[in-house]
Amino acid sequence: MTEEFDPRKSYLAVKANEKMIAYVGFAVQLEADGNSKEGIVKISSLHRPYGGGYLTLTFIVDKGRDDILKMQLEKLCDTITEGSLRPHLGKDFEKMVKVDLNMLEEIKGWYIEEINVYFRTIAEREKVLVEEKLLPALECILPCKFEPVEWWPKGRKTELSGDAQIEEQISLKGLFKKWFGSGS
Amino acid sequence: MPLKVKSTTRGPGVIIVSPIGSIDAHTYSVLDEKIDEILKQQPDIIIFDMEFADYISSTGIRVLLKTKKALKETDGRMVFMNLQPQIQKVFDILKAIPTLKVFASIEELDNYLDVMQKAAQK
Repeated sequence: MTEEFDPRKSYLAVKANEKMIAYVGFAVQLEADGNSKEGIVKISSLHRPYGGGYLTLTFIVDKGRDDILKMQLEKLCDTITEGSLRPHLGKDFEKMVKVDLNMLEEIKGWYIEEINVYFRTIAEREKVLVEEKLLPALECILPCKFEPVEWWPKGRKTELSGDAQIEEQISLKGLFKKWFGSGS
Repeated sequence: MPLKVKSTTRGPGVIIVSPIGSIDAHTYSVLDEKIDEILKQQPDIIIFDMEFADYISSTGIRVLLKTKKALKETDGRMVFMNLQPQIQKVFDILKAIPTLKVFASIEELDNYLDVMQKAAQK
């Protein structure tokens, strides 16, 4: 018996193991006259047992119904390639993978672009890789300017007791799993 | 559309924030300033009632992330009610707020708060 491949389900399963580590605002210049658009990048990471891993950068821009803006953003994002990143990222850079989120589900009104950047060593180096390598590289490749990175706090200082149990009791955990791939 | 932000207290440490209008690049500061005021009170839970938020831009998403970050640092929580489907989809794809909780109604939210309070009293 063959099981039908569900790309959306597979994507969410893969993404469930990533951890959001930071977010950063940016402004991208769209035209020579200075017309720019603001957006936000979510930064996640995944560590492999051997010490390597990847950073996922998810670019989020509200585009409304503006198809011209969408085309401009697509054209800009096309310039992010392994070839354009490599000179900026050094010998630790392995490869870059782009994920076409529109293939999974089109979200009307939003332009979302995701890139996964693989490094040979990533553990304890995320801050350096993001602030000193990746974002400066993207500022060289794209006509954009990033704001200071907002690093996500590492977990709660004290977890509320029985949190998972509480969520189970009110039967929302399944709903969270459905929406976010993970209930925690 | 201009943005108005109402806030009401629903119990000790529980504050409901209701944005009314569009949260965009021109109006997000209204929400941002309101949230800053609320965070000074160190709430346990901030509930965003998004029923009348008809649009949210990436700058609005940023305000939500900033709020979530601030609450995470003080062991507070952020939950949503009446989230519009398009925004739900954005969160779904992004998993931008991993511990985000969304309630479809005030009754569902009340059940959650009730269970939380009972758990805290144990």
